[in-house]
Amino acid sequence: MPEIANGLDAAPPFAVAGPFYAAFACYVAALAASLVRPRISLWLLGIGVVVHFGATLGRGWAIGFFPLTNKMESFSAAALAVAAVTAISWRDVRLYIAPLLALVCVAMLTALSFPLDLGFPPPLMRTIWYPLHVPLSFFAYGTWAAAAAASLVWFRDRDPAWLTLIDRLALNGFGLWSFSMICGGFWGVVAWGAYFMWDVKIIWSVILWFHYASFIHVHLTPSLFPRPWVRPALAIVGFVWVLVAYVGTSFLFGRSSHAF
Amino acid sequence: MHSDRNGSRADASRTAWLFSQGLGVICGQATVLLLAIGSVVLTATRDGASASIAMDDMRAFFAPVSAVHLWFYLLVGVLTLYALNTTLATYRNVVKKWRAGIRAPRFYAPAVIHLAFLVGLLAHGVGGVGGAELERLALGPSWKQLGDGREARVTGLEVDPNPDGSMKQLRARVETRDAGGSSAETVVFYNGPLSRGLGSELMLLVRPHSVPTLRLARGEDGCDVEVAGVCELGDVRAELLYLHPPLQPGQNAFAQLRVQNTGAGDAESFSLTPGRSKQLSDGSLLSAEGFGQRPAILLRHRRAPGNPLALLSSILLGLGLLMLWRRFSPRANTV
Repeated sequence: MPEIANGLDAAPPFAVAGPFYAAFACYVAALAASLVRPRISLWLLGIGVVVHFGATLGRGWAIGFFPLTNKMESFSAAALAVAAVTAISWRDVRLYIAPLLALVCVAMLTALSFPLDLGFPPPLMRTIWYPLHVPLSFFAYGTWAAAAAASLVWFRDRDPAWLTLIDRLALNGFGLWSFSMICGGFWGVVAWGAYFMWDVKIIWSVILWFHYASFIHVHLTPSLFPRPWVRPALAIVGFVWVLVAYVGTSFLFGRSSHAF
Repeated sequence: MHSDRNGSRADASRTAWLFSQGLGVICGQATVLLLAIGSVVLTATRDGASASIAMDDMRAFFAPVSAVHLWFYLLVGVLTLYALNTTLATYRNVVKKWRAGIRAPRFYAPAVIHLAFLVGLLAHGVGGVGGAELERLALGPSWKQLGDGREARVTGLEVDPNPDGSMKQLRARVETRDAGGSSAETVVFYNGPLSRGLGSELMLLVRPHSVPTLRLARGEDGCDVEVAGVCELGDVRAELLYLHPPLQPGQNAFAQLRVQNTGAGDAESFSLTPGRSKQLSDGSLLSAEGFGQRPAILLRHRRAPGNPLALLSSILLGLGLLMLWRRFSPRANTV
């Protein structure tokens, strides 16, 4: 039972550790099943997503706000977003779903390695732009992770249908990311007076936007028509950039206006 | 005539690269690379060559010009070329579609997104060159100049606590008035700055504060005034220039005041200690009744001329993406 912060003694049981560990167990089981029976894996993933979403709602109810106030909740929300995107874009192909489920498990394990204490958000987080900005960005991360996983399958099978999926996932991620940046920009203006700052996290957010903006122009470039491998390659590189933007800027660069 | 046509074709082929998708992809990836290098350089030189780079400022990259910031100078060149490529390609594409009789708005969605990109670049340029961090302002119960032609004062302050006692939100009721005398009341809070010109002038809440004040009385009128603040006592406007605490125990504190009768007469400046009165030129008595502390807020004054353009860019980007909604639908043939 985790320690509950002062003032949150009435937190519902669903807000604390148990359901998060249950969701993690579902994700691990889904990953294991994906290697033998992908169909069963989808069911396990679906149960995990529902439990995880309920636990997240419970934390939100306990603090009266969107539960994204620390690193635990950030990694948990990222895992939930990737899990949801995996379920939505499900394909019964091991090479596509196993890396995505592994990513969900790693994100969830990272979340559970941090204290699960509940805490109230600081006043600067109390704006509508914050709970719009962060989930949109996590869904974009999930969508681009799926594009990278689909690229692995394309490199193995060379099936044009996977190229179509990669294009669509990259474009959807770009749309989600653009709206996330718009919301983040509005938040930046009302909180700090600027929609952009020379801060590593924000610079890498811009990098992601430019990377996927140029990605979606590749299939319009005649000189690249005979090189279909460019888009899958860019999707994989883009996912590396996602990891740098999300994890690297907080843990490697060290100095960022974004705590997580 | 024939050779002219061949000549213009040759000219067109010489400039075709400027319109090409390939140039756009190259510029996009070059931007990614340069920004990635920049993120490493900025982090590594945060205490050195990049120490003066704050917020969205671009001037600091040139003061002084440094080899460390070569990535930024190259980025300016790449983005200029990117903007030129986007402008030319978008213009040609829109003209082509229009001449072909295409009128459905969704076909112009990419052009709207490209326009958002161009306006966004312009916003960065204008904000990066014209933005400024101005002096912080402690705003209390007496009128203070905001620096944009307006005066403001705090008329109420409320702290909304969380159940654990931490601050949930701070709300300050602020009254503003402009030179013309028209006043307005607004609430300033975290994520709710005092804003003007679509965010180009912002007074952002930093934290709650308190200010030492002097209690003044003139006849039946009374007010609390803080340093650099003004209060009105009937037809007299009193400005507290300076407030000095006692230098040694047992000594009196004193205040330096400038008083102006709004009806007529020159401004008078004088010092006054608590418990004493001063006879003004109109014969009335102005008394300093004592010192106090009044709740106030500390505000950050930021000039951000790029914000209105960024707002326009956001609206265009959002609009363009919504116009593209069909392309996001999951009905495309995939695996």
